[in-house]
Amino acid sequence: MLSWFFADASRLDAANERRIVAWSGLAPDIDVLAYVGAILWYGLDKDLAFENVWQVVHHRYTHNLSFVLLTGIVAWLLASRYAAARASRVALLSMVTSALHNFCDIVGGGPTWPVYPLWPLSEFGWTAGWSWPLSEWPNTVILFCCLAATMVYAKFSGRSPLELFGGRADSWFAGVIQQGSDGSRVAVRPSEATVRRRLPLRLIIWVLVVLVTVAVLAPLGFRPGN
Amino acid sequence: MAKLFTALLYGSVAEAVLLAFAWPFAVSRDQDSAAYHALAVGVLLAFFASLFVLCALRLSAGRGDKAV
Repeated sequence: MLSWFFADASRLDAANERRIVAWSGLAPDIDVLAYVGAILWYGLDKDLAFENVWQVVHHRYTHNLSFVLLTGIVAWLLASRYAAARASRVALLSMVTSALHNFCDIVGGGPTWPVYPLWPLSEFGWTAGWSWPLSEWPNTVILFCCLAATMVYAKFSGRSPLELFGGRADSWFAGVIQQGSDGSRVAVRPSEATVRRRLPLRLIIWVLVVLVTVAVLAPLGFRPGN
Repeated sequence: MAKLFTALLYGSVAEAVLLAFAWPFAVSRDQDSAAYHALAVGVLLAFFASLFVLCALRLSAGRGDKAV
């Protein structure tokens, strides 16, 4: 959500560009795929998967400058499909949100999860001893502020971070916020051909949603109360 | 005012990148450094404050489209 707000504050006027920048901010946590694979590999034994894979992999390969550069390249390739003239700016902002993710992990990810700034050139892991864990109140305050801002944005501008999951999801959400549950029916439905064309992208988006959910719950052992 | 807060936003972002990637190699690897603590929290607050103001300004200006 923060990445989306950053993209909007950076005056990116096209939804696709905001989407690329916002997903780039989430990209470093794509290493959750390794954890999901490990859980399957170890026959759903999440303790073994955590000890042998997640503890080793998380933050090492995707929380560093190399990954930030890789994010910039992918963002540039995606953005140049829509507006080549602005692709460089989108790529730069994408790299910034990816790098910000690292900074936020150092400050608010807890002292036990270092990032590896110069991997693979250096194996040095960097963290702050005073870093507050994920479940601490500052992160909760930030989360609730972002949720409130999401609703305010949807109410007054008709767009919100739900753009990450597609224009229709965002239109539906903005409709509900602005006009109640009947408001979403005002939205124009796309043609069958458009729906078919968007199906693969939609599947990818929903798989990513599931992965992000797993990324949040996995370190908690799928018990959010812990 | 937008220019001022845009400068503050990008300044805080640049500082955040330095703190995340360059500090342990260029300044200190002390994980309990008070200077690092103060700078990091200050940068975070500056980032949130400037982000909040810029988003509010953009909302009031009503810019941005919803084209997919």
